[in-house]
Amino acid sequence: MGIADIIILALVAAGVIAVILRARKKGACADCAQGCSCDHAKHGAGACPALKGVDRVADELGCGVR
Amino acid sequence: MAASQLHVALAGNPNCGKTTLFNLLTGQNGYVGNWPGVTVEKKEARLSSDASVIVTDLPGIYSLSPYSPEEVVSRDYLMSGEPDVVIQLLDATNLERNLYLALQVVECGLPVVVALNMADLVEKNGDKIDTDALSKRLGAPVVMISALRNTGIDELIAAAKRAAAAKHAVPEHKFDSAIEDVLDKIEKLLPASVPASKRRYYAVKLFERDEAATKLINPTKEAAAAIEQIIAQCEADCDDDAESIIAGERYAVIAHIMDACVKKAPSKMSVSEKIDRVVTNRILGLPIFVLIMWAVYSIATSADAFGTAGTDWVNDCLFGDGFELFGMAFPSIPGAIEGMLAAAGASELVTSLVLDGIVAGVGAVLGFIPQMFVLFVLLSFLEDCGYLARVAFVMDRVFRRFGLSGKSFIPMLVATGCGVPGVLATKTIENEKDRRMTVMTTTFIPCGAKLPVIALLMGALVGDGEAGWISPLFYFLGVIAVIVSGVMLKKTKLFAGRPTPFVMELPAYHFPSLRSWWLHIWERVSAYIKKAFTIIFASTVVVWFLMNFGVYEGAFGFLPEITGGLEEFTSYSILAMIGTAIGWVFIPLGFSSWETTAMSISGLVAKENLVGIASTILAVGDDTGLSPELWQAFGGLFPTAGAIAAFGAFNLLCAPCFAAMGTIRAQMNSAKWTAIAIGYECGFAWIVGLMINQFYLLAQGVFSVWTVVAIVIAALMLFQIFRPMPHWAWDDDRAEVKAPAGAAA
Repeated sequence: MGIADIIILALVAAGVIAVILRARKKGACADCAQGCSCDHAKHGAGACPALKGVDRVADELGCGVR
Repeated sequence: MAASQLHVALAGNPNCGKTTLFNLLTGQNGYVGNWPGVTVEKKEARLSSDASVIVTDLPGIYSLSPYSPEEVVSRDYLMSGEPDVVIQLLDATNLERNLYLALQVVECGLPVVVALNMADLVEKNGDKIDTDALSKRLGAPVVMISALRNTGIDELIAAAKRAAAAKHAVPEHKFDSAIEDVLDKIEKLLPASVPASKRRYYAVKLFERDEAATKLINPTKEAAAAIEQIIAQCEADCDDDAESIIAGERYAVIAHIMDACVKKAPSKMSVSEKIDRVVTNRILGLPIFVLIMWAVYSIATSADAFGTAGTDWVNDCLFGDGFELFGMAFPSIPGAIEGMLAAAGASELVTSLVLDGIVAGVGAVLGFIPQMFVLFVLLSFLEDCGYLARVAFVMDRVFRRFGLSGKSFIPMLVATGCGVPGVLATKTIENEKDRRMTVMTTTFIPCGAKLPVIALLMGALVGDGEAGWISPLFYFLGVIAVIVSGVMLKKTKLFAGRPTPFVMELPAYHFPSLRSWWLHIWERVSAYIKKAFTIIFASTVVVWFLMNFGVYEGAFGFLPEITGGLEEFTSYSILAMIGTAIGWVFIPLGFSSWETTAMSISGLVAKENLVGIASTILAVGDDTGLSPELWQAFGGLFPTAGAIAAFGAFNLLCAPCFAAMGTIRAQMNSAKWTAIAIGYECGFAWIVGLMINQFYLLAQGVFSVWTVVAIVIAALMLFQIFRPMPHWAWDDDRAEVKAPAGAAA
């Protein structure tokens, strides 16, 4: 296996690892129609309302209301 | 909250243009839909022209009484103390209805600016709104705007900043003097801790016996008893319940406002009403919908269409023989990469990985971009111009006949783009049973990602010359699957109950703004491209590994090498082993080869992945999904056309991609219900595939035990569809109707 092979395989492996890390960080939202272009994607895993459920969103928004 | 920041909340009725205004103010591309419930939760972004202003888009609501999750979310946010000013957006063409919420928001005591949206339509209709008089009566500045045409926006922001500086507002509208006296008495009984600006709001809420407000205020026992006595006395005097008394008073105020501030042009039938007489006609509505959707899918996929020509170019030139531009010859992508790999001295293994794995898989998916673009141009136009909202109305008639609600069709319209927001849109359904059932069936509707699968199937079935008519059939297969499932499930104890009442405002037809139209298209196409270079790239690498490595004569390794160049080396691969182990499940459906099984599994990652993996497995590396070579190789995996159709039906109806499954899990908020939903989808898909294959074989004169099974299942399904609704089916729903529609049951 030559140096070119090693470089290409390393690049491909890095690409696959990056995809896995992205999916881990952003959850399945990495693959929805918004394709992580929505606001929630910036805030990491669990920030996507699609994955939270409306009640949790409502609870969070209601938190601290006096 | 930093002192220099200004928090602006956007509130308003569903479908009055809040998200359009939000996008315009912030430069965001939040999803704008022409049906209620599109904004799921609050969205925040900074004002494009002034980063110190944070704009929050709230879900559309009709009142601040917390019956639905959207109302809870909006009210809690407004009362949280975070917003410095509220922009209360009103659809100026439906002012009377929109003022009901506006009055309540003004009562909150927050600084409010009233924005009358769709000013252009008001002008076009010949109506006149006296904004100065309206402003005096509401006690808040009023600005005429058009979010779609970008008019009046600067004035609105300036008014919001001025109003925020005032810190609070005092509602000017008054109810009947007897009710005002009652509210005054309640105000005096409120704890001293309630600020002056909020006392009126809480007095009204306590009068309405609003439990959440009472809990927050927590009056003393004596005060609570006194308040209850005041309310009871008022109810006895008015011979009505407290909530209805306040609602009646608000409508009386609105009637006075309308009388004083609005001059309606002599009523004549608007263009929208004229179109609706045809489009939503009792008899013509459904055939028109079928014709339009047929045309959409035909145009997107037919051989002569622009999208197909684009895909052909990608196939023949970009991933084929190369192309010429301005007299210069350019090599194809695989050609160029192959040249680079050869020049670098790459080994057979690496060349195979890059060309047969990554380029073939990702290229096959990318090849569909022109077709996807055309599909989304058409679907986005239908949505933005207001037609798809009419479809929900038309389908309500069809659904109601079977005991379903038209409300269930809105998520399905959203799901034509992607199943994730489709499943998410089910939260607008208050009835928990209907909501669960809609979650289970929404992803039957083909999303954009299924278009490449449909194109591959129709190519294998009939070839490109006649392909145009096949594609809509798969769309209607999804619609029929939804209706059949709904009818059958509604007659089971799990889902029985009266259909949810469906009230919906139909927006006026309008030509979409180019920005909004383009955002819709770009959002979907860019997500598709992003997926190709992320999740599909990763899965093609994994599948290439599984397909090129395996055990041959007791040795594990790179099969093309250890088999000595054996043509059928993939039969010894890990993927072949996995596919063969699972493949028996699909024997009755007519496809059991490891290749087809592997494709079906790969579709769970992302549906378009099926085409990418087909291209990788079938070793037609430089061909995209519309290539005749790929169709031929793909068709060769099946013994009959019936088996191809069964494969298509199974893959289009079975469990959606992982992203959609994750959303189903979140919305069901129950492992049991998630398993039921995914299990039902897979089971239903398997049964449809079985019937297609077995009835096709029966027509060819082939009879087997599976034919009997298919006939028995078909008979049971027909029985369940046509038997009358059981007597117990509509008895137990009343308690459920008011149940929270959120994810948690």
